[in-house]
Amino acid sequence: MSLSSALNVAQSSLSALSTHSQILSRNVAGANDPNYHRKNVLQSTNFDGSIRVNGIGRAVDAVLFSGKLGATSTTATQQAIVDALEQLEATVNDPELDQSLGAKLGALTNALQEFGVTPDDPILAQTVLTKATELARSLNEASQVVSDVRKGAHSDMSDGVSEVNKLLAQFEQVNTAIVKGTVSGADITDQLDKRDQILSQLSQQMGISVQGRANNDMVIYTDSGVTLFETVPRAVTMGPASAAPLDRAVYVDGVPVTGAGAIMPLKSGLVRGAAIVRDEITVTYQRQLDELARGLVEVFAETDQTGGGLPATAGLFVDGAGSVPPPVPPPALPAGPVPGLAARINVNPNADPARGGDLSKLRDGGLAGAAYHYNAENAAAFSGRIQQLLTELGQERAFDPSAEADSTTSLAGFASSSVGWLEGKRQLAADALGFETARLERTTDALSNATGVNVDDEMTLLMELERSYSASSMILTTIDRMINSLLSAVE
Amino acid sequence: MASYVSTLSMSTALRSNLIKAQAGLSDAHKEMVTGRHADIGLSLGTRTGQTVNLRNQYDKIDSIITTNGIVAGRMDVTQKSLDGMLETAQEFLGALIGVRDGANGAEVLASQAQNNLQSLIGALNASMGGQFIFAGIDSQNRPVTDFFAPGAANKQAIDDAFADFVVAGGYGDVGEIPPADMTAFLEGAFAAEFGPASAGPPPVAGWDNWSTASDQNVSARISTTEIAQVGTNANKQHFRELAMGYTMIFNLAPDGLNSTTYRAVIDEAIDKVSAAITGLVNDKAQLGTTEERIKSSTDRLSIQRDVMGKQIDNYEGVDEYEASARVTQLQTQVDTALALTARLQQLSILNWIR
Repeated sequence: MSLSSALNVAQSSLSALSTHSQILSRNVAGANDPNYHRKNVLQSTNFDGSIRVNGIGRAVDAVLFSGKLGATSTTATQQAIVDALEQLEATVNDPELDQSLGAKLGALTNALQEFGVTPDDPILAQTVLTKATELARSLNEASQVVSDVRKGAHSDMSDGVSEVNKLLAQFEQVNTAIVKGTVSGADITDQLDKRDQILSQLSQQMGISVQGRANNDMVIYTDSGVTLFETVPRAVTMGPASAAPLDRAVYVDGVPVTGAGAIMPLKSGLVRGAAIVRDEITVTYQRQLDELARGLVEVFAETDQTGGGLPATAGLFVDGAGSVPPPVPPPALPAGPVPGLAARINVNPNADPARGGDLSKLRDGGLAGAAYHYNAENAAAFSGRIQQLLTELGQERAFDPSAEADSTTSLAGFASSSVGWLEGKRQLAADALGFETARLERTTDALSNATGVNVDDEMTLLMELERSYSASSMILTTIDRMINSLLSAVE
Repeated sequence: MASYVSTLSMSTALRSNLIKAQAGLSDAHKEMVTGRHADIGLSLGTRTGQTVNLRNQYDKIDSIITTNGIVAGRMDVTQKSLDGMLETAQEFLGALIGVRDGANGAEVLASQAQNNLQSLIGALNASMGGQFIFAGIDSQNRPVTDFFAPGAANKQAIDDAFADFVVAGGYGDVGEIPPADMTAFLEGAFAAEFGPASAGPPPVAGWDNWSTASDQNVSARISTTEIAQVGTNANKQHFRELAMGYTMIFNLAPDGLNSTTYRAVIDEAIDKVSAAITGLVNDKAQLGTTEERIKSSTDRLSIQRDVMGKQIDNYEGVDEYEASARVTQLQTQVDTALALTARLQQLSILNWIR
């Protein structure tokens, strides 16, 4: 009878409208969640006129989503680099503050100039010693900062590796649930949202590209093509175990993806940014510091004044703690770049009265031993050695070109060139970060507009649902009355 | 659906605009107040190295200009001292010539010689700022032995030499010494007491009895590339000649010498003092040349320093008026962003649903 079929239709309408309301309330709940994709109800009409809910649909935009993943990765790379460079910049600071190594070297030079005009004034000698100690200490501290930044980058890399492993395990769970749900026809939209969220977090650590397969299955590759997940997650480790901890690369599925030996290196992601910081930026800057230290040792080196054939050896600046009296035979000068010299450089204790030395050796020489005594007459106003040092400070010298600063310049010129290198890198990285951040913002914005929720829109829809619900309820009560009146007519 | 705007994207856009405008405002304010870039490294990049280099050179030149002032002061004192010695020597020369030609005033001459010797020794022992300026690089030791101190080695050596000469010549009385012999003594053993030390025989200490000064003069760096000698020392020949002239008049007293011998002594003294005056004038001229070099170096360095100061400003400075205009503009922007954020949040259909 058509009355009963009308009843049927009205009842199916009511249940469909309740599903609509449920979806609507889920949408409103997820309005402020950046990972939530707008859902809608997929419904169709049966042959008998009743409504059937076929499933829950989900707003997607695959192009924008993969764009957002890419932008997240590149932003994370630049952010890691910029943060590390900001920390390294603490060794240089604003030029006006005269905190850079170049400025401290200049202070020592000027103290020597004043000492050279009044060499018999012990106060000026003490000033020279103080400035030299400050310079050595600044080199030590700068080395410490570089070492700390390097260690920080390394722990960022290993944290990133554990985070990737954790996310891949979560991804496996969700992916399996999605495939099962697709096969059985359940509502998997929430799991799809969760899976996209995991992908966003993953792209922060490493650049990834994804590919869909049958039954909503997904495969993840790094942006360089190494498999991260295919049915099961692949192992992401730091190795090899034979290498020193700070030299280990990241291995994905047995393939190295960072470092000089990487066959398929990562192109973006926090892990890549941290690897650049740990393996390139800090290493080069440390080389510059070490070359500066070596230059200092060479400039202040003393030569044998007796003609006895002893080698030139370290004078005011020594590698390590030095000893009073100076060791015999005297240690040779470094021939080439010396890794780690900047962390060890020190003022020769033979010049420091507080450590058993004698201030007058700053003027007379002899810091390396009696054979290196320059002041033959032991005169108080002897300025020959001081003027020699000042001349040597202004001479051009050769520096290791792999330190990436000016390789033929004076010591002060090298220090300035190092500042220029660091600030140049920082400016480039900051510009790149600004660009990538803007790109990420735009992409996120567009994606949100394509797949997000507009609360006003949902509220308007709710008003229509309310009206349809009242209409359907009214139809039900009316049909009920009609059937009642029919039945009462029969009695 | 033509184009959809999600609630989240609207609120995110408003918030991020506000944050950017506020960050820009704080930077622009800093630039307006200090007149330099807010973050020099970010603004200049690799050129930060050049401004660091410029500052380095600026400080270096400044330091040399300062030390040049100190050195110039010391040289001034030296020149004044030499002026005094020169004047005294010239007066003495006039007196010597007067006595030779007039043969009276000999007693006055002796006491004048004594005074002059005292003032010469005093001047050579002058110190300034803790340094003995005529001691050469041995600046912490008083250079010249006081002739008039009891038991002074220089006086003793001269008295001994004269006594030996009298004994060797076999003269019964000082008045018997012939002028030729006296001249020979003055140019021989007497002069040796003012000359370099020799082992002998017999060993002669010579000028070592008088002065412990160093032969090496104090030198200083007067520009980035030049080192100059900025003093003189008491061992110079003209000081010895002055000492010789004064000593021979004062110590070999006129009493007892016959008049021709005395005239021979006066002649010797005139020779020595004239040579000393020439030497003093040369010394002053050399020092004067160095003073000129220092002055021109300081002038040149001052100009360089000022140019560098301007270059540093060029690199690091910003136009304060432009920064101030930017501050005003950003303030308006922040204001607008705040107003929009408040107003747009009020636009919601929820206000109209019952």
